[in-house]
Amino acid sequence: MTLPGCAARRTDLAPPAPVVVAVESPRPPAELLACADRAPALPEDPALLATIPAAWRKGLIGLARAAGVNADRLDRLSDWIAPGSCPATR
Amino acid sequence: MIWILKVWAMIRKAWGGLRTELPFIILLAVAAVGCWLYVQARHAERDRDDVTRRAELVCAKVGVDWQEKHGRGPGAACADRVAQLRADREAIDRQTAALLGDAIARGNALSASDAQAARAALSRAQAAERKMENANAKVDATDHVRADWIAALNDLAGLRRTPH
Repeated sequence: MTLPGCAARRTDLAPPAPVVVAVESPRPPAELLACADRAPALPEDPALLATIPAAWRKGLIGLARAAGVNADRLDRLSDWIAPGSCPATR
Repeated sequence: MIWILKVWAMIRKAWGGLRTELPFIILLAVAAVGCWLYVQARHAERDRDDVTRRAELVCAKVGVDWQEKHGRGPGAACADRVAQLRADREAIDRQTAALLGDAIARGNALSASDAQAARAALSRAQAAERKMENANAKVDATDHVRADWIAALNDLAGLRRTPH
């Protein structure tokens, strides 16, 4: 319903300029984007000596390898989602 | 040749008869022209109504009444809306193309930098693996683990060495 005096004055002929909005994929929570947690290295003291059987050594090596691979992968993932957040470490 | 003369005589006779009826013939001709003009006018009206109906349909599709009041007469508001819609559409297409281009460029940059990081990580891991194998081979005889084996383990796990 338009008032007679306003009939010739259209207000809806100039709609706001169209805006194209890019929808980014949802960002993971910040705690998932933290760089890999790298524990301090074991002391490399020449005076120390331990006797570790081959089976345990093998297990320890597997543990270390998994930790290294996971840490590298997490750093790459964080860097992918938030570029520059985890520059190459080590 | 005689038949031509005969035909000529018939035409002259008929013309003589027609001359007396000239006003009626002119009336007939005027009536015929009038009928023809009338039919043309009806055709023009029909075509005009048809075109107006189509214009009303088009305007209804873009949500503006054909008779919408406008300084430039009926249909002008509708034409304005159509022009606006087209301009909007073109602007949207341009912005979309720009956004897509940016997204593709960003994706390519990410892929390139990640490929570099992946290569670096792989070469580090391979070096650490070789060092670990060597250190472990030296330990095999006695099971006595010393600093070099621990250092290889630190490298393999990517542990953080505190600066001395």
